[in-house]
Amino acid sequence: MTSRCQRGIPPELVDRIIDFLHDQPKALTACSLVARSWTVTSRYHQFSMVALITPRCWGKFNRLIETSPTMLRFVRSVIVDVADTYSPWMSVCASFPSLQHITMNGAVIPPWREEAAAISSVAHNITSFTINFTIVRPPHVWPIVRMFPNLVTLGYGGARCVTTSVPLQLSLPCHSPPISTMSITTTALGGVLEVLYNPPYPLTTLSTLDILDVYLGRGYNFQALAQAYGGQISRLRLYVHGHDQQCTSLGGFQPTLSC
Amino acid sequence: MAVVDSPNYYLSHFTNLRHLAFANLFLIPRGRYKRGGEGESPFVWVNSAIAALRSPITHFTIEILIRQPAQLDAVDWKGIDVLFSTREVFRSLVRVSVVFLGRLEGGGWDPKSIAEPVAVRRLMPLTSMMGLLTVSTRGPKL
Repeated sequence: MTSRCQRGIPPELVDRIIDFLHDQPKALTACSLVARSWTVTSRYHQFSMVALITPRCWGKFNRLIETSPTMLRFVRSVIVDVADTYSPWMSVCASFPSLQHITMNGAVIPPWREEAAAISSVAHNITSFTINFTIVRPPHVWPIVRMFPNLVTLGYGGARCVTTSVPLQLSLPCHSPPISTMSITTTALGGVLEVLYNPPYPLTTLSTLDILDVYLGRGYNFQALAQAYGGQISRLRLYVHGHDQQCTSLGGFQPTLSC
Repeated sequence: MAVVDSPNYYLSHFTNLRHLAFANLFLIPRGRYKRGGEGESPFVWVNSAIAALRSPITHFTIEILIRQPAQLDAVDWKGIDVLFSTREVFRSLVRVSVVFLGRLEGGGWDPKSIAEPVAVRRLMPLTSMMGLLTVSTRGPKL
């Protein structure tokens, strides 16, 4: 049934109005119940990002998709936390046909080797992949990254890198992703550099890298990164360690705290 | 002055750099560090890093963490002034952004309404920055 409101206001304007509420979940929930025609636009924002970070979240999510499987197509960004138990997150990601951004928290890579093939159906859509609070085994990272042929943004946040000589073997097609933005906000920059320079499937260079967001703290190795990519970086964001951690080490300057 | 084995020195490798941002720049209150040394202001070493640059910067951003309104007075506004007025690499600036990271300690103040006007008032006298400056806040909503 067409409401009087809909006859008066073009749907494009209704969409525009709902767009303004993109960061207000309660308002979007209310909007989605107003009329069928409002539901799609409301859900487009409401489910654009899904955070599966606790067992309770997983439970609620499973119940939600059982009752409303159509919401899967609205998910464009997913945050998964696989810290404690094995989570079939790759299979879950594969169920989101519009998925573009993946953020993975708290896992030991790779706990999900067997499932890697599952994500190949949506791998072409993925443009952003971020690893946070994760124990990273550098030789295992590149095969995962290279599953995403259109990857533009790669992030390491708070990841710990553990050296291992055993490469991850995946029988998947590997591509050289056109990464233009890299964010390394971790103290373990040395380990990340190992990922960059010594992958089991050597990536000659990140020739498309243009934007670098890098953490400057203790024990980093900025030299190799600067020498390798300094000439092509046009945007540099230096993430500085603050004095709260009693360290403000940029350059040779080491401030001394007075008591 | 750039030290050869420091990150400052390696900034000279960024020969194509146009946008430069210092993020998570903690405010260092006056008196926390020994007087007479470089530790007087965080902008001393920001300045040192910029000295190593070899390409003209068009966009420059500093993100300053402010936890309490009183810390606004401790920001080295003069250091920012000197920074922009003396560096050749800033001749081509088209945008300067000061971002206050409004993380709160105990809550109770709105960094957007307090920090932004102060920053605009203190920085706007710089005629060279007229029309270039944007001040914003980022952080949890109150």
